[in-house]
Amino acid sequence: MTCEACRAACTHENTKERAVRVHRAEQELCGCENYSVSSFSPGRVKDEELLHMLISDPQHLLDGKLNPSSLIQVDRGGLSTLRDSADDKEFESTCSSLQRRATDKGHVWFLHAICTIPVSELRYLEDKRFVCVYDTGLPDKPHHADIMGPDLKSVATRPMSNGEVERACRARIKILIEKCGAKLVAPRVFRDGAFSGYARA
Amino acid sequence: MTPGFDINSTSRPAYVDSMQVQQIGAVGTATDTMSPIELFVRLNEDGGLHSITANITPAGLDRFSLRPSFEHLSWLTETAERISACRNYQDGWDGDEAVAPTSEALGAAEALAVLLTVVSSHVRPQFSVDALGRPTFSRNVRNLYLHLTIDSENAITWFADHKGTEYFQDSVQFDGRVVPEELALLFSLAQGSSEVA
Repeated sequence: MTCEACRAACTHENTKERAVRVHRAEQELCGCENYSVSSFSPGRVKDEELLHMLISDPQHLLDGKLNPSSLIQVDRGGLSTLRDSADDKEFESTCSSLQRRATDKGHVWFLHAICTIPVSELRYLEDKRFVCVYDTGLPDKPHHADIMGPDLKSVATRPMSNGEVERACRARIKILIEKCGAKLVAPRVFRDGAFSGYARA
Repeated sequence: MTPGFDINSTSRPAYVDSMQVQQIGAVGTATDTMSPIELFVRLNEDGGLHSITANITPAGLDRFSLRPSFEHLSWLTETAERISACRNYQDGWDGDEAVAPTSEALGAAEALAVLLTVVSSHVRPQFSVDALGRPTFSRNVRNLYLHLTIDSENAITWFADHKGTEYFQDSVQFDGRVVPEELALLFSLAQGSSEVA
């Protein structure tokens, strides 16, 4: 099952608007989760799965948790993750690609930590919808998935100012940090240290 | 299905009601034209923290319980180095789609960092840059969650939670010389409870 509107929204070139566009592609909250949104992915992301977020900047950790500055894409282009079903080769090529592209821009890239989160914890908050998880697989990263927040302006029951939306987005990021908690794994531990070569020595 | 948290709620920050008109600690440089980093360099040349205290307007600083120590200076040194490193960032610096911060925004971050030296290390926010290129100061400790972004060279936005009460200020004018009053009061509250804890 596919939904062309969802697929188009998930790959929209304006990355800042991607989350809002995906939200609007379906009437139901996180409605695009009902479809596989990528022809490269093995299928929709299930609640039972685990997602891994690669943390490349030590400044994106704060007081032992994720820094809010590392999560702002949840309302824009989506938070990039790899599904647990991705094999080591896919993790390896992802790290390699990120490191190469950052180096090309003059930035030193290291794998600092991996945040592993159960999808079921992300999707729901007290039995209600919190964020959406889409199977945004790419040609070289078929197990890529994006975490996106529903567009808060459009789900509000009354008109909200831009400031109120911003406040709500930041409140959501705070909850997201609490959900991720201390689920951070060092590269030397994750998958028996298979990617510790990308960590700072 | 509704979202899992109440996005329509409004909670009037408690401190607004209890706010008293008072002056907040302000960094006044020796001349009006001195940049924060020039000030920083001079502080180093002058021998450190005593120069910082000499340049801070004393009114209201009792709320910060300023305790001169080299910790302030080492934090400022480290933060200034981080900010300086960001001046070389280009779009895509994270290997993905992150935007590079502007020189003006980083200048405002330097100014704010100098002002934040008077905040207790227990609650003082830490510098980073987000994917939109916004210099960010944040903290997540017991009794204080703070997510502050520098939106432009003269505007900052922050969301905070202190003991379960939310504080949010959007696009607050920031001139680089004075900590906005509401933010200073938030630090004062957090610092007070941090010391009690």
